[in-house]
Amino acid sequence: MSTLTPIISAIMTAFQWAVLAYFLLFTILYFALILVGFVEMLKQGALRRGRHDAAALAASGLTPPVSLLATAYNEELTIRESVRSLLSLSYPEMEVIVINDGSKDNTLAILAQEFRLYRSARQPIGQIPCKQIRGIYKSMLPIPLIVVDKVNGGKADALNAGTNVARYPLVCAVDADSLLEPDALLRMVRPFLDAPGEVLAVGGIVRIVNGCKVSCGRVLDVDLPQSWVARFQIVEYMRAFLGGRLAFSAANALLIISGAFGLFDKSALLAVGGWDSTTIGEDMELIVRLHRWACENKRKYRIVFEPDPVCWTEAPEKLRSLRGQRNRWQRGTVESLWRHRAMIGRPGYGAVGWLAIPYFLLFEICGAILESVGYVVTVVGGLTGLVDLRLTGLFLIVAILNGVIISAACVVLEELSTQRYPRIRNLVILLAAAVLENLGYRQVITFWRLQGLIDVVRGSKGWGHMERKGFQSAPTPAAH
Amino acid sequence: MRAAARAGLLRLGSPEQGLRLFQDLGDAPLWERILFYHHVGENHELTRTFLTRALGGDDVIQLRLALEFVGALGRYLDVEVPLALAGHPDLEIRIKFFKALPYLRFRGPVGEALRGGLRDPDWRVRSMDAAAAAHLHETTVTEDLLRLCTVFSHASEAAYAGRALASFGGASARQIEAILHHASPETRGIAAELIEEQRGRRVTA
Repeated sequence: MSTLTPIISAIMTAFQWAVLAYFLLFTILYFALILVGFVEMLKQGALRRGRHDAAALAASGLTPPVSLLATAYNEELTIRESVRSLLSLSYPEMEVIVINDGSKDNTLAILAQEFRLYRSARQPIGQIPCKQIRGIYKSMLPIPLIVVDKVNGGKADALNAGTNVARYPLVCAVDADSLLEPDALLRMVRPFLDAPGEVLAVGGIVRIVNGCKVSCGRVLDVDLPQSWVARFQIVEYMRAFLGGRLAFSAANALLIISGAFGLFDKSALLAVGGWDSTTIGEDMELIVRLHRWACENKRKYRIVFEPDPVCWTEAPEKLRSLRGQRNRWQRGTVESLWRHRAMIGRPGYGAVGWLAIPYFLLFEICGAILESVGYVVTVVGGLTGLVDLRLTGLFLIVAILNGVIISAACVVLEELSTQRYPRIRNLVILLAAAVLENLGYRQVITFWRLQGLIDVVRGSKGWGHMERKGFQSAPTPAAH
Repeated sequence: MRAAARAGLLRLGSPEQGLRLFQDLGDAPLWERILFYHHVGENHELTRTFLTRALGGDDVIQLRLALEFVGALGRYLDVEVPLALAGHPDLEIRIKFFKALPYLRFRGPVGEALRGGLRDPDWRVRSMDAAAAAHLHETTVTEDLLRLCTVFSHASEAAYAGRALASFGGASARQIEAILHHASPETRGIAAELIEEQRGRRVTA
């Protein structure tokens, strides 16, 4: 044992240095991405693009019509608000297609009662394979609402059914439990008008609705939630959208368009066969497949992230739900990258092949392993004296500081460019969350990501469960 | 920046400068063109002058811009358009012509132009033509629309044709019911939905 001790100690020390080097590399790269993202944000003039532009689009006969696809599975708590929110979007020509994916609760009954549905003669025209459609319903009210009732097949399958029923050239996938800002769709369509025929998909920004006041499907007052778990997620989302998506979008290497809010060229969707219902990360897999399809067919194309259109979504506040979500995201990332591993490093796939996929492999997949093992080695090494205490201290300081610096920078730059949170108190709390999330929350998330990796290897396919609270309604005046 | 500069010039510049902006608009992205059209639409004199010149000339770029501009505004403009544009060799012009046609003045019977468009090799032209027929209530093309409901390369053109027939009302609308017995399930589906829309309108009226 005594002869092994120095060897084990040397291995642990070397590993800690390796993880420290990884942290350093990650921080430098992430900072570069944040800066690119910030410059992109300013360049696109996210704020300066006034309402007048949206008004011009809303009034123009040239704005392409959009089919909005909202999948719903057991959404009885939020479905009314969500559908009202979708129907009240400012857009010249659209249809809202709600796909009830075999809900076991009263989702369909609530829809039928609220929107006076009748069974329609409408038939699906698309040919993407999906589970059996039990019925297509329309509203007797003068609103462009279509409800597709189908056998449960998962979100991807439901989106495919919706695409088959859709009539318009652009389809927008949204989660039924999300709220879009009134002009979100008008802002989202802009890249399609910048380069008609070239843009395959556009992703918008997803923000957390917890804590905001909502009425009639609209976010009336933006505020922060009471729960620190939700606050940490707000910081995480800011980091992901500013640091990740904007920068990758600038290099046409965007790998993720959130399943909660994405606009697609329907002909491209049909050409690649729609969403893949056999993967857990159908949103990421579709985007990687679109890149692959476009590159292999030598198409001039763009997949774009727009920071302007906002979709508000409910974040899990219970750790159990959050764990399931992160586990699913991690498995989805691994599955998508594994399926398209042939793209790695190949020049024919452009920046996706040499930048985006390697980045995800290194920092999203290997990062979870390195970081998790690093923490274990630090704790075990520190307690047993196998690792120099100064190195252990250095490791912890670097691990925490790198997270604090990146998160705080994202909060400040994001607020500078969008000013979404109106109160100074909000910014102070977000900065506090940017610090505190590195003292336990981030480490827990990292371990859950590692668990996700292990689950992929074990072949786990579950989706986990998300407990919904529903939207926090603004107080309404009492009736007299 | 470019869009803002154009808007500024439109507001402060001379009519000639406004016309020059149109001439240089051909290379601008559609987004910028939409913004420009939105601003120009408020200037009736410039709108009229540009459209009269462009639609009376044979510059393909200016013709495309003029027709697109009319389609973007989507309101009636008392400017004459030559019906011969229905057979223009440029596909984009043909599509935009039929989209703009209901909002422009023309000389002579429009039925022949519409009939030609409904037989165009491109489905987008046929779709826009059917939509124009509905707007103009041109019942002389009923037979051609009926044919388009059953023989089509894209479901959208059949739907446009069906809606045109439904908008005519009377005997034309009743002919949609005959399509319910068509061999193709896709055609039957379109017809059923159109009939449903007609009846739905009656219910809510």
